[in-house]
Amino acid sequence: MVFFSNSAYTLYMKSEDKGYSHVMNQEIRIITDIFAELGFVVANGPELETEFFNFDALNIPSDHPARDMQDTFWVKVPEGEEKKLLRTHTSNVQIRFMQANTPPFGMLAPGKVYRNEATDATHEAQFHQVEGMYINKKVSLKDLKGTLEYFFKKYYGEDAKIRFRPSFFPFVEPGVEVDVLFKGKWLEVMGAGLMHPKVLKAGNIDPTEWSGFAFGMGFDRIIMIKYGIDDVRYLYSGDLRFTRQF
Amino acid sequence: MKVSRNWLQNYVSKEIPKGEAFVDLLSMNIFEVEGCEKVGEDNEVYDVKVLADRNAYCLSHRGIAREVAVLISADYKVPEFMNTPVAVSTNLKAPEIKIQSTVCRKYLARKVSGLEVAVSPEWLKDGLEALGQRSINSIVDMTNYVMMDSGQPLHAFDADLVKGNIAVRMAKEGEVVTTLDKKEIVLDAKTLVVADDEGVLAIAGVKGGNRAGVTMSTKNIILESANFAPGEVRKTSVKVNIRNESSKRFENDVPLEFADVGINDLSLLIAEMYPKAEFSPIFSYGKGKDDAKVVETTTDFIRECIGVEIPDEEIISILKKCDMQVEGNLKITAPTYRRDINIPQDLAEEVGRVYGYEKITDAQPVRVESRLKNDKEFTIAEYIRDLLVGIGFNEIIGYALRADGDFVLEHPLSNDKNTLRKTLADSTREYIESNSRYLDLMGIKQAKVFEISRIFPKEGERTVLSLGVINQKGPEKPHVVIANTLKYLTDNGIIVDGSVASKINEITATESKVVFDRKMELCVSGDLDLGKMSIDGDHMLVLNKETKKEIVKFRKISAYPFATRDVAIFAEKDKEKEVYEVIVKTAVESIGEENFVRATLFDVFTKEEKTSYAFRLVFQSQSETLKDEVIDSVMKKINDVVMGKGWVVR
Repeated sequence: MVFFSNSAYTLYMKSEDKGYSHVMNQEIRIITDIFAELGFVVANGPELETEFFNFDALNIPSDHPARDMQDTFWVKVPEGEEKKLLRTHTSNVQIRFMQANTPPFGMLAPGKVYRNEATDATHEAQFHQVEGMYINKKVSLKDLKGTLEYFFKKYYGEDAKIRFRPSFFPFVEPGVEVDVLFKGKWLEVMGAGLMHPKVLKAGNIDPTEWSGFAFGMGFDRIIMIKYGIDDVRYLYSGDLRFTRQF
Repeated sequence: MKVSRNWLQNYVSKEIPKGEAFVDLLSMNIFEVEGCEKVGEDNEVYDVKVLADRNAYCLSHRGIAREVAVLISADYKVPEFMNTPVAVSTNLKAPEIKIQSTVCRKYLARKVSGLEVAVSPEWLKDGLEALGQRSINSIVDMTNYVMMDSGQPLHAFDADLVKGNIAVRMAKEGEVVTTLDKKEIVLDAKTLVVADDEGVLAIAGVKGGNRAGVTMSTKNIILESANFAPGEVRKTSVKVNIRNESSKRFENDVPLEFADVGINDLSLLIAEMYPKAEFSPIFSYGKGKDDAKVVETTTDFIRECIGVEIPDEEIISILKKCDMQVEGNLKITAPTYRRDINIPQDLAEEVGRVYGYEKITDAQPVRVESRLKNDKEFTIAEYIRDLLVGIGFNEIIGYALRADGDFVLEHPLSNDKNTLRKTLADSTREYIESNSRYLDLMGIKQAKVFEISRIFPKEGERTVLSLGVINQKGPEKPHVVIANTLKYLTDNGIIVDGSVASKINEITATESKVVFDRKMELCVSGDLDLGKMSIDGDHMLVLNKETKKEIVKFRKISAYPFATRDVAIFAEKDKEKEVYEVIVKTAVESIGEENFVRATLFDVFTKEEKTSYAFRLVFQSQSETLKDEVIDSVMKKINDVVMGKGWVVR
């Protein structure tokens, strides 16, 4: 019934009748708010996706080794129908959003994604990503760095630092891995880069006129670092002993 | 790929950095280096994570040496002796190979005779083992060594075991091959093979067969240095389930010119180890090199991509270091082995990474005028979340993979997770049932749960809300809570089509379900479609923004059972807080903060001048099951302290 919140003792779950939203959605709200200040809007896309939006449109052709970068859950479909899968990343929203809107714009797409891999304390077959995309004239890696620095300083605190390392993702060029310095350690938190002209074309946007950056971060890991959660499986346990701690 | 520092050094004109300096140099400018291991007296082996687009030329010491040379402004140099081919013997004829499929893009072969295959010498054995390769025999090891050096997969057949003529052709449907490791594989007509008159000798680019494999008794061999279409190698290796160093390189599109390097280097190595060996001329099919790729751009475009004012001279100098021909501003001819250079952005990447991304400083965030609105479903979900949390509901995110759904996975992780859930109702019920066991631990009387997630019924994917309530059987009825909650949502401006009214009627009519030996009652709302909801314009949407949220440290959920004890204390009126603090302080002092979870007031009544406060105490350890005696002694202490205060334990 009553619990004294000013108690001298730190007790780990509060017992008042207050409810709690899931820490994942609390954090998604924080990130969407931070990006809203820059004019980014929230977008959505299907989790059960076609091969086209998840792979082909993102410059990942079939029978290409780049497909190995992600273990895919394919879904059985009747003979002759387009192949379906559980999206392996939120990047499918990039294409759908470009096809429906005219630049300039900034977009953020948080959502569930799936990978066909055995689960343990750091791997889940289902997890969350937050996709970001910005399209305008003459967008540069510097714009990307400035935007991500702004985000991480707001999210992890003013002393947060980021760095880029070269990387490869078929849907961006140049592609970078983004590390964030948190409590004295560099942690790999997201992939990013300038949007590949083929991807812009797949979104019906003229790459000779427009350019853009995109990033995708595994959000579970970012939250786990923030709160010291040591096992990703808690997030999807449906356990209120977890929910009610945040 | 694992690379050896001394090996790389053969190709680089300046001294290569060691240890951490090497790891940092590569990690910040081209490839992440995952391991750095000291080998022997003066060598190091690095595990370099070659990026997928550079696999074509960098799954080799030569490829990585080229990149190291670029980064330390050194020259990439091939030792002179490697440019001189072996002497060809007039006694030996080049093998005649029939190429019968375009999947084979290039095929070089030569006969070598006068060999005595043996155990490899130490330098070769150790060299391969340091890279994680098993030593087999001198010839096989040399083919692997040259592959690790040049990036070109090579194969050797025992020439005396080949029957008749060699052909590179598609397999016959159902044709069987026994691989070097004695596995029988049945092939289909889409598989490219190397065969003789008797049958299959090797699955092209993937695996050699046992029949003409090189053994310790082999005297004469046919060397193969070929190139096969990457997509086809990939399909075959997936189909026969063999992934190895050879298939990995071929599926990444090995440059055509590597075949010449491979056969030349391998011949030189054999000649060195077997001075009496004789070499036939080379049978040669296919183009020497890929066509050179020309990319046209400007230094302005490269600066625009990176966002930094890099001078023209520096851009041009970096591109030249990367072995590119540069004309004007800016026509680039990329080296033929660079499959990853296709568009101007690829050149921006070369300049950016070599120049150094750390030199992008003083960057500002972009800002865009927002003409667009947030996704409607997201907005509705956020609003519902706030409303429900405000009336005591707790959010969960359940597992999307379950049995009994309509969409079936091709390769599920397990049989109970082989489909996509078609409703949230079942999982909500399971989650509230499992949570009902921890109500005391959490200090709540009722578990009120909601989830907003996608479901995948056969009509297609949609987002739904599901509510669940469970509590002990008694006056509180979960179905009433849920019916009231749905009314509350509509009262607060969540507009739903007629289905909510009928849902309320349905819930009210069905009432709560009694479970757990009639001890608990529960009710689940079932799926409420977010796609059919909208928000009433009169209701201002003010989301609960907690920007300065306190970051709590997550406490591990204990795997050990918790124990409860009730205690009721008669004290003066309005002493609730004092009594509570005495109980908690005493409990924490006697059993430790880590083993005491909470005290929850569950009953208060006043009789004459005295008030009774009944608390439920919860104990739990992270590391053991707490013994009854231990908890009893805590209760005894509480009893003593309470008495000392002049209060009475009932």
